[in-house]
Amino acid sequence: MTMLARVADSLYWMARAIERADTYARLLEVSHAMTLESSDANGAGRRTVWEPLVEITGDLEKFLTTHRRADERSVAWFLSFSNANPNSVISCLQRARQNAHAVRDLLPTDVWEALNAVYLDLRSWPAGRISREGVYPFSRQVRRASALLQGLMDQGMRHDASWHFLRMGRYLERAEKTARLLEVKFHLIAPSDPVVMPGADLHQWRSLLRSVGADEAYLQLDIGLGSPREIARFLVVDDRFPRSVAFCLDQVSDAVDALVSGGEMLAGATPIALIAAAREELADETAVPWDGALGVAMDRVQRRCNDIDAAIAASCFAYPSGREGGQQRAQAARQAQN
Amino acid sequence: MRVNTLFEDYRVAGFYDEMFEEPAAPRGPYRGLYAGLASLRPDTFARKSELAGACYLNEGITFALHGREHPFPFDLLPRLVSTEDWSTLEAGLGQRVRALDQFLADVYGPRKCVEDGVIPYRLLASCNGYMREMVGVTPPNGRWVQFAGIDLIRDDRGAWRVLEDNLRTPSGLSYVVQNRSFMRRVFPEAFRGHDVVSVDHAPLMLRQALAYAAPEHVRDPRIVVLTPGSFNSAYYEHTFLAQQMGVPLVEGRDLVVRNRRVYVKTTTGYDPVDVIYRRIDDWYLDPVSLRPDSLLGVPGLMGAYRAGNVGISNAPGTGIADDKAVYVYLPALIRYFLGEEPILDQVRTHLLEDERDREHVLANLDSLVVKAVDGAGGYGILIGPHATPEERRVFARRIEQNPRGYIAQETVSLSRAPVFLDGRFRARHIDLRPFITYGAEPNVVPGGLTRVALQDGSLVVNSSQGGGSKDTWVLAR
Repeated sequence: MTMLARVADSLYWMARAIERADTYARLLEVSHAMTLESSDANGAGRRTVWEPLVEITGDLEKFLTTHRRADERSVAWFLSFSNANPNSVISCLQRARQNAHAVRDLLPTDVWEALNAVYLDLRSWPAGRISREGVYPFSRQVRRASALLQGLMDQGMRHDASWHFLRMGRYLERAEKTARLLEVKFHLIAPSDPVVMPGADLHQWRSLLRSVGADEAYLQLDIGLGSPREIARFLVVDDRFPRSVAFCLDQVSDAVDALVSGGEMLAGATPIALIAAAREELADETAVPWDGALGVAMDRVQRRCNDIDAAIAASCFAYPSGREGGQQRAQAARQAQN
Repeated sequence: MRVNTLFEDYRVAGFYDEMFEEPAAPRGPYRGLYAGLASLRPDTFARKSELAGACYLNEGITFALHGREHPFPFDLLPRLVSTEDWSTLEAGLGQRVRALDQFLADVYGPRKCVEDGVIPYRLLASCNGYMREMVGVTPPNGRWVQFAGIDLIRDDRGAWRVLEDNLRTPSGLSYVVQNRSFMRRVFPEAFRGHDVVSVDHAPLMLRQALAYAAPEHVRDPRIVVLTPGSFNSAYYEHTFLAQQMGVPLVEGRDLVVRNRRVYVKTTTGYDPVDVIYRRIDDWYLDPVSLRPDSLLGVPGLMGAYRAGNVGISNAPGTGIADDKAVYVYLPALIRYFLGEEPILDQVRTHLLEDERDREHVLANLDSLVVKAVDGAGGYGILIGPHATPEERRVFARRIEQNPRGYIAQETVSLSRAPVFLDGRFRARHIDLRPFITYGAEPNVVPGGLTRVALQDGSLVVNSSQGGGSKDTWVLAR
């Protein structure tokens, strides 16, 4: 039987939510590390680190409605444990768990257990722990859980439609977030000459790489320290690094191809054309502006990602009677199970 | 110190104890287990108990109660059923399910049992589970029942008796399978020297039986599990059974009916469905022909069903067999439909519509148990000997207002078994819910769910009332 539309929807969003939690945990950890050593962590960090961090997540407006200013304490809380922030790590994990719950019959038991365990464990953290111990233990746990989940899915599932929908969600989320990170950071660091590595901002560039776990991989490229342009190229078009925009889009594209050839997605659907278009724009490196204008290109990538997301939803997830509502939940709870 | 010392103040007297004839004198089937405990230290046992609890939490096997998730309490000491007892129970339960199935076919069909005076029509038509919409409908293969859960208790002499029948949406099979799996994981040494009948294949038994609900011309039926969704208390079970049977888990909103055929919405279009194992109530199945406000069902489902294009299991309308007033007639119905003597005893039960019976019951409320005829989950019950005079007055009033709505039963002293609580073994009341699948023949899942009343003296074992469970071992010899 072909996969249920609702099930595909849940798998896709489960993967996106886990990926988002992973991304935000990394960003938090790197930002924290950057401010630790600066003399006035909150004062200087506010402009250079904490506010941009919230901006990367796209939730700055929401943040400012509940917090007066962005500093280590407020941002760390907002991105980790805040229930008011639908994109905090805990909210993402909760959403992932809810989605996993809705498709439990299709997931390996190990996957459910790992997701349930990390969620329950973080939920049991006392409120002050993250400011007491720093974000490292928190971030490490989230990153490890994400890696474990991904490994369990890759090795414990058949690489069938379920797996491809998970893959699609994970990589589309990642492509968008890497593009977003570059957009904000390039605006902030704004290299005057992208071909020369500026000594003053060296640690900024290293942090940028580190926020996507790319610092070590980049240094193995055998190009010395490279330059802002090299770093950007690495994160945008390197087709072997699993967090580059191009790599992620290729994965989404592969997943869609596999679904179409397996009869799990309609051939000729718009997502295919959109992914191809997005990939096309990055194919010619000389056409990509590797200077301050990179932000514009990255903004376009994000919009492409949103269009792809909407097209996938329209093609695969639309199911007859709409989404679950409160009244339906109430009725569901009333059904006697004798 | 050894685990057996935790039995030192364990009291056997007053009830039938499953494990002990006398203090420190275990019954035959339990001798090996009791001897094995001698090699364990109490803290080891306590640690294993904790590990078992963690298994439940990790798996997310929780029971939603008052809006919160609770792990299903599990007691590490298994409940044993001897080979001889089991063969009697197997035969008796199978007999009962065959009779119930024929009874349902007759009630919604020719009604010979009414004509021949075995059961009054008035009683059937007044059942809450009675569905006028099903009159004249013949389900595929003429079968109404593919799955049943029948509750058994043991009285103070240890005799097994049927307490009630559940055909609507019997729940708990997933716990049977998982209890065993956790038991193997945390307490493997307990199995040594025992020949325990496996239960892992229970979901496959169910799948085989569900094929009998498929339209007769369908050879390899496409089965789905229809759940009300993750907000239902038994959602875990729905996911587990779908996964273990290898069939999709769907919600009502995933299904559509076109030209009287049922389809499931997939990522590319619509796939046909042949059998719906439904875990939603009859009246919610179809907003078009049943409850118009249902958001859980499928518009047009009953039309597709009546056209013979899809099977629903159990068939809609089977709820009359759960009615506790119908239960009173079950021995007579077994004799009538099968021409056999009932193998299993029941609990003596009074109907309350007859004035003389009613007066007798009202005068003796302090020694009887009163139940709503369509109640489930341990709700709507008065346990006379434990109730306050005020509670008894409330029930007396309800009975007078609606005598058809209640039955009264003698209070049975449910058997007890040792349960590990606060570091000691305490005697607690238990029952047993075996599950019967009915494909070609009735098959009883070996064992069933032993439910435990965790409160001292309580007779209510339902998980919705804070009950727990034990792994149940049918011994092969």
